Amino acid sequence: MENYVFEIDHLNVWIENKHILKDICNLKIPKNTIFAIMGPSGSGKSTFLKLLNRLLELKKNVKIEGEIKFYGQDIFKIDPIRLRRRVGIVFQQPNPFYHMSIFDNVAYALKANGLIKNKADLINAVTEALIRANLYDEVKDRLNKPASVLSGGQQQRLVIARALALKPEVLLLDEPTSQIDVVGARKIEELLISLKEQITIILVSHTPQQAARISDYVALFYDGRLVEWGQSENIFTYPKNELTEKYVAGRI
Amino acid sequence: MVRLIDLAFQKLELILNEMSEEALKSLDMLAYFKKHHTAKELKEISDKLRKLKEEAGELILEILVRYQPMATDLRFAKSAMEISYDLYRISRYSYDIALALDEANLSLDECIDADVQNNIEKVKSMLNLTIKAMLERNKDLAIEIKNMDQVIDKAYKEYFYKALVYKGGKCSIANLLIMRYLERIADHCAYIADEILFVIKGSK
Repeated sequence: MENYVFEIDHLNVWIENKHILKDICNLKIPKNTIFAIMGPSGSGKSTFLKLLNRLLELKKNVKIEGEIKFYGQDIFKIDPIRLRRRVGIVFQQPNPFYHMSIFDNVAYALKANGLIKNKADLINAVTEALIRANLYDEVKDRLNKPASVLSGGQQQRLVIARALALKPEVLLLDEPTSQIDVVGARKIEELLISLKEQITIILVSHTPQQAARISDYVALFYDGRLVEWGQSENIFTYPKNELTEKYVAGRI
Repeated sequence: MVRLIDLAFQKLELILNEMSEEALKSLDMLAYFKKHHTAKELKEISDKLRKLKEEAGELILEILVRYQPMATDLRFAKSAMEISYDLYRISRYSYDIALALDEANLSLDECIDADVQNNIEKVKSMLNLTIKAMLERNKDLAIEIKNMDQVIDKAYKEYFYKALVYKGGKCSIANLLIMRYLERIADHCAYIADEILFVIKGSK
């Protein structure tokens, strides 16, 4: 059981009476992998991602049925705050606190969660998070500058550093490179590959090519349904489902 | 709507078709072998196929880099690389047969025996089928080709052991060499069949 971070079965989600996720069955997310979720717009990818750290419940008129287990435990029985500390999330648009310094962006996450007792520990923890996010070398001389001076790609890595500071076991990323230039996107992809040794990464990807480059496993969502999932090598070389074949080959 | 990658694949298919026709022509020419003249022509065909193979390789590389193909597209691109090499090798073995005969100053009708003649016909029909299977992406034909390869392998082995005890001079050496080259041509047909199966079902 411990090989899987999440196990999802018979999952249905309605938002304002609209059936968004439809009977997602037997989906298992292995530990220390990059698990990509792909699919066209409106297929339910982001909704699914937000479910995994219970952010979706913050919306009004949401109805959820079915099972989501986190290390074998029903996520709806885990305190959402505790769950979110273990399962971090990064969104499409980089969202650092622009008025805060680079340092404070990361420090804030630690302080807000009461994880740091003294300044020396805080400096160490912020530095460590920036190093893990492959950002430290680029910002070490300007930690006191506002986050707004960073490029889009750097801002996204700062947001990842903020999430990593809490030492999550899982990092959810919703199309993290879609708003970023090619160089910035490549750095984030390299970062994700280096991070998977320590944490599990679940990534909503806007292109099959990106999923093929960096993911170990991949799932295709289409119109709220899970079409197919499995090892990326198999899915991208020989998908079993015709819809997957069409999607990855750009025929739909 | 035509995808950009389809236009590149059309170009690739044209190259493979041309290579198939030339490879087939090289085997046909063997049947009407006319000493030096044929060897020279077969060399030209083999050289042409080598160039086409390189052209196909460059185009495939461009397709991989530019379009990052997936699923069937990816499998076809990978297989086309192998197939172009196999077709080139088939033409090269045809030339090798002609060269062997040429250097021994023989023509096929001078000393070719019935077993060899029979195998030339079998391999020709095997290559014909291979090309048909490739064009139609026909799984059943591909399996048939693999079975035919086993028959050619067996024929070569039997001929080899027969030749070990038979003291027949240069004709027997030439025949054995031809049998060996035919066996290799059949192998390449079988490799192409493997690639066709890979394109169709993702495994060989």
